Amino acid sequence: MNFLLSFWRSTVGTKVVVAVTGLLLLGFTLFHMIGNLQVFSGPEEMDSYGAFLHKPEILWGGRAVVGTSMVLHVWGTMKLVRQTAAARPEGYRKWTAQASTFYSRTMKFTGPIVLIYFVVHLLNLTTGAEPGHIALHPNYLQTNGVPKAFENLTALLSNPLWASFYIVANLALGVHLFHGAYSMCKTLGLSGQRQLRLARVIAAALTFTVVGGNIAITLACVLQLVK
Amino acid sequence: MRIKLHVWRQSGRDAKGDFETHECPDVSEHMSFLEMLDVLNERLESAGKAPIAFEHDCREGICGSCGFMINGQAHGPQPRTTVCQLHMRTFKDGDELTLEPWRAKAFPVVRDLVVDRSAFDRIIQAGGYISTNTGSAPEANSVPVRKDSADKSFDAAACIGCGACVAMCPNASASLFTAAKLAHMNLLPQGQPERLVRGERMVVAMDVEGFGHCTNHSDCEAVCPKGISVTNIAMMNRGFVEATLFSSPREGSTED
Repeated sequence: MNFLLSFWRSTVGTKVVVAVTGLLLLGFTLFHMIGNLQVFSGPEEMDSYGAFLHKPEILWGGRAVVGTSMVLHVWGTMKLVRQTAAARPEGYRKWTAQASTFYSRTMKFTGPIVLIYFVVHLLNLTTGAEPGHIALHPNYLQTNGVPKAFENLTALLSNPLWASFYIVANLALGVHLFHGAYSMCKTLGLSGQRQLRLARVIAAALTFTVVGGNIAITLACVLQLVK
Repeated sequence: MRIKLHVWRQSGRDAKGDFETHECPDVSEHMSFLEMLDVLNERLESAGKAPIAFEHDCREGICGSCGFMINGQAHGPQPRTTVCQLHMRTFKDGDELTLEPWRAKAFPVVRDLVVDRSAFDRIIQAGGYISTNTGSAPEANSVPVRKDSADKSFDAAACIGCGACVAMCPNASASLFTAAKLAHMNLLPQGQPERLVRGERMVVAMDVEGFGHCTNHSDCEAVCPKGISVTNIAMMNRGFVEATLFSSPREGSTED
């Protein structure tokens, strides 16, 4: 246990934890998007997929992995950001970016936006399924704790305000994922120049897939293309 | 050429500093940046004012003494060049330049543009060496070194410890410096016995000094006068994970 504690205490160790949990969360966003594409196949497909995900072992297993990852990812980042904020007490009058990008420099802003997105999304479409819980939703439908996934999603996103929220949140997610997916490779020790160039391409492809898919679903709902 | 300078002036470690503006009306394009400051300092001294303090030694770009921020760039606008090798022909007549010392908690300002970089020495003391019996130098070819390892190690060993990486990093991280020193030793056969414990100790030492963490911006690599690659940081991270998993704290300890 001692070695795990000293690992966590070091900045490199915390970075590795943030990278591994980031990888798990990236995997989650990808599968979540792919699963949701079933909205294009209609209510039956979508609802039976929803019921499948509500098998207790899948539901609670998934929640445990995503929840733990999220807690460690946010906690680790907050620890690092606090430490690093103290590393330069007096800033520069002039500072000109060299190789850093918009994506890399905005991680600490896109991170909290994604966290808000995550929480609001749970309130929108998850918490309502538990008896006695409030849902941030116009008309949340469920039977025996299993939400009516298709109707809940289309009802929520047919509201242009909610749709815009999701589009903006997904753009922030994309900015976060692009640097995150590339950065985690370096943090986890990928050091070849060619491998890193490949990692950048894969990061971009994954980002486009996840964000593109999510925005396509949102647009389909708000434009009433799926009913 | 005519150059206008806004220079950070600070009389001592705990003194409050501020910017001071100086005009250099007679700058030759053949001057190095430090020579321009020399001329300015002579003028300041003959007017009875304190000269601008800046560090310098070899003035040929290999000692790592000089360095400050010029318009928000460590060592100024020319890639792979220390401030002493930066010539005024890089600038235009009438340019306004802001000169600031490296800024990091671990690099306290000593005076004007001079900072205390002994934090780097303490990182080296934590593990940037090999433990060996002294004696006459061994025959050069007695330990074979793979060509690619020798090249990578040599590239990392080119680090002159100037501190530009820390200064440019948005997080004031010393990862590039520490990683370069680690790669320099860890890629050679002589560095193998203490490889894991060295990585662990130097990373911990870097944290203790109060440097920030690496978020893979790569601004450090861009301003490094020796072009040290950020891929060394990835190797440092990998080594740190390996050390946590495979070395017990006592193993390989060199403490008495």
